[in-house]
Amino acid sequence: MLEIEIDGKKAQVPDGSTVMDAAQQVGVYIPHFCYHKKLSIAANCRMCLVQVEKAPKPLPACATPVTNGMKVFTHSELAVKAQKGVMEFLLINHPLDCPICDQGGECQLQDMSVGYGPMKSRYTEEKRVVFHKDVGPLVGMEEMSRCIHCTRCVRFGQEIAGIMELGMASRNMHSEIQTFLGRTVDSELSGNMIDLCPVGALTSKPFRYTARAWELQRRKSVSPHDSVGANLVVQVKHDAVVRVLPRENEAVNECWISDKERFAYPALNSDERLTKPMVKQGGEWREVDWNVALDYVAHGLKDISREQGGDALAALAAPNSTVEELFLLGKVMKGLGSGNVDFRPRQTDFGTDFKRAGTPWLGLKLAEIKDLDAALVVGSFLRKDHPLIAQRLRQAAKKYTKVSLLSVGGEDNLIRLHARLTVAPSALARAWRRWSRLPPNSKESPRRPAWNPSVPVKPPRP
Amino acid sequence: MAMLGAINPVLMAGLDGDNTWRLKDYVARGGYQQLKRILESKMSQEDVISEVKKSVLRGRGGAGFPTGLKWSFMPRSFPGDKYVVCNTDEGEPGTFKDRDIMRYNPHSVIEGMAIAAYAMGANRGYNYVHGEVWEIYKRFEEALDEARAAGFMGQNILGSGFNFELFAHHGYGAYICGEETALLESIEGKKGQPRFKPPFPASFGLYGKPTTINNTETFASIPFILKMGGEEFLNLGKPNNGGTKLFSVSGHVNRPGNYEIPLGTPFATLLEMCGGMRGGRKIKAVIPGGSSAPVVPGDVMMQSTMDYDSIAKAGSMLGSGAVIVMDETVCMVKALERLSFFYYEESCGQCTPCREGTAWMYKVVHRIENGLGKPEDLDLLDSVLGNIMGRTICALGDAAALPVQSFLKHFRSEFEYHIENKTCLVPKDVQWAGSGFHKIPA
Repeated sequence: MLEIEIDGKKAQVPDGSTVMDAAQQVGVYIPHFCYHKKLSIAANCRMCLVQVEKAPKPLPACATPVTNGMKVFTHSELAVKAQKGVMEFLLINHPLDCPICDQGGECQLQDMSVGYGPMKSRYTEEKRVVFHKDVGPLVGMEEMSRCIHCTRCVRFGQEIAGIMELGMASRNMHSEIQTFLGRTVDSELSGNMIDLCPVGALTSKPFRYTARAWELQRRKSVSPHDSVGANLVVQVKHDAVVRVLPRENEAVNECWISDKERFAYPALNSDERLTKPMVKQGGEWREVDWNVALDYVAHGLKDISREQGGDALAALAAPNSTVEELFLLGKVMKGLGSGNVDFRPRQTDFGTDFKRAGTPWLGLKLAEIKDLDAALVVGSFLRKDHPLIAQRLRQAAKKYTKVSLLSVGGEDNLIRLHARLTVAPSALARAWRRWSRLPPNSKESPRRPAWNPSVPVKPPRP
Repeated sequence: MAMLGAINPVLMAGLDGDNTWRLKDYVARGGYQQLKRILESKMSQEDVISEVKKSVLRGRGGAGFPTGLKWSFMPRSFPGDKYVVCNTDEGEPGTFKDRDIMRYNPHSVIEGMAIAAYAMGANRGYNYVHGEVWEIYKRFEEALDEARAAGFMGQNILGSGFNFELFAHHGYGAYICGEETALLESIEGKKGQPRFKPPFPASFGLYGKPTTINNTETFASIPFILKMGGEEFLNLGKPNNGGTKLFSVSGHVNRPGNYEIPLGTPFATLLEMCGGMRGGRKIKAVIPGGSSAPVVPGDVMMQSTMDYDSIAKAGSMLGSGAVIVMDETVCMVKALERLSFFYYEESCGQCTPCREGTAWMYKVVHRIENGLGKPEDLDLLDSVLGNIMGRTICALGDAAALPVQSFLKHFRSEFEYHIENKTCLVPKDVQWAGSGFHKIPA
């Protein structure tokens, strides 16, 4: 443990902490743009410059390691002068078009300029103009002049999404964030770059010009599309969902959500959606009131139950319904005298139902994935099926977890794999059986030499 | 011919023939004898480093950091790869000494790097050559082939069991790649952008391994230091400023070129060797250490000697030893405009103060030069450069700010005249007369 004093507040921090970590621990806010707790340290925005005792120059808090007995001043004359100087530099080429910017009202640069920016610009030269880029239907790079080159989006691609789709090309003031040779941004996690962008350079295309941040009501929710149940903030304007954002939960989704979660909401407002109940009478659909429709259904179900017995009825629920919804469905079916309820509409073989105790699940908490020695993925296209689990495995594989893949396709999960075996879907079970018979740390291969699973996955918890 | 003039030359001695860069010539001049001696006598690593320390050889790339001390930072017991990297990315305006070393005496660099690798327990080396001087890259590759064929490089050098592989790597001309960590990034195949320090390259360098980076001239001096002994090399110069150094003299002198002189030689002597001022005009200002060093007025410079300490006393830096001489026909505003443009162009764009500040400074100086200056512009420049200095990831921010600061300090009246009268203090016909390009009709 190291001792540090920040603005007179003393704290003990673990070895290897940075001044920024320590400041968060003691509750001192240091302004920053490029620093993000989930990304690597870049130290390029220079907004977090602070005064450190015995250092001749102000040092960036995000990249300066704590030394024992260090004294840091975040609001001293030297520190504030440095921070204000950086703020002025960031603003000289920024278009200051906040009134028409989608980020207005929730913009880090806007907030920080209130605290550190000058009232009037001393910069009278022409500003930099950066052309917009079309990178696909989700992420908008329409006003790249707003970019402050913090490279959060670039580091997100390299580190979290596993594929570097954005990079900073060119030198000096003319450096630009762009894709490689005009390609699109296709990552299944690309929407998170919009959240990460501290200014309005990367914006959400579907949300573009729909609402201002302060007009929105926030509702907490849980993801209906995502296998992990990512926590969401659903934003509503005039009783219509206009935006979906991640809600931070370290145990589930950290601060990310996948694109299919973020960009699914336009379907809620679609014209093609049925919003009123209809009843078919005489071969024709007729719009009716909810009361009428519910009565109609209730009578119909009760009639069947009375005439043919409860077993004539069965209910199939969507597997990603909430627990409450499933409970209510079960209650309705019981009331009708039927026990036929299932949530597995895609499953055809239920032969193992009576042999297995309990519900199948991952066997460990999502947050424990990073501590695994080894993981074996069977038959899943992780990136598309479970983007957030893929993200966690990707981080784990960078450290010491050996991730092996038994797949049925040639897809690339952007995870550093320990071993990989691709078989036909019909051979999946056989390949798994042969693999599971190999002793741990076996060098033997069921099919080819590259196949070298060393340690099996952790056994399911009792 | 390698040199226009020299006093007690060491590095460039005996380089008058045509093929002085060939291995045969170098060996005839006594080359590779020191590597051989060290390997055969199994000289200890400490002894080699202490010999370099004794010579007080200071880094020739610009910062002037003592080389022996730098070498001793290397964790010699570190298991696994360690690297020795030579910085021939000579991009500083006014500097052209490394190019001549590589052109006329490349084997001295190879031998110096091999000795350095031996002293630091490294087995791999890279020489990063500036991308705009392609012919010296090609020549260095040829020299490497010669050394490899003769057994001075590769596996089991001269039967001693010491392995050293050296590779040449050329950049594409970015000035920032001369910054040591940007250079490492570039060798790794990434965009040449400086890394944040700490960690320093001695602990986390090329591919994350301990790495030592020295200038070409520094490495080229190593064989000679070991040949003559550290003490004697030191005595060539003056205390704390050991040895001889190459100075690239450019600007308004009669014979611009490279000159090797002992450190501590008076500037007046150097100027005399260059044939004096062109056209016998009065000296106005000198940039003694490459474009990023502060400018010094001519009369102050005439009183000082060419070594790290006295140039620092004169308010500048010896830097890489690029002496840019300006005579009285120079408009200092125009000179600064060109310098600022260079830093504006070459800023890598990574960190905010340098990316935005260098552009701002250039634009303001450009405006003043073109008669659109405002009285408050000089204070604005002072404030902007103050916001850049000491706030950036690497030294390019300081390098861009120092010339502006010194020009404003020493030649403020010219800037004020420019703003007030919208024209140069030095009349245009005088400027033309001095340029050498515009001939005034008789």
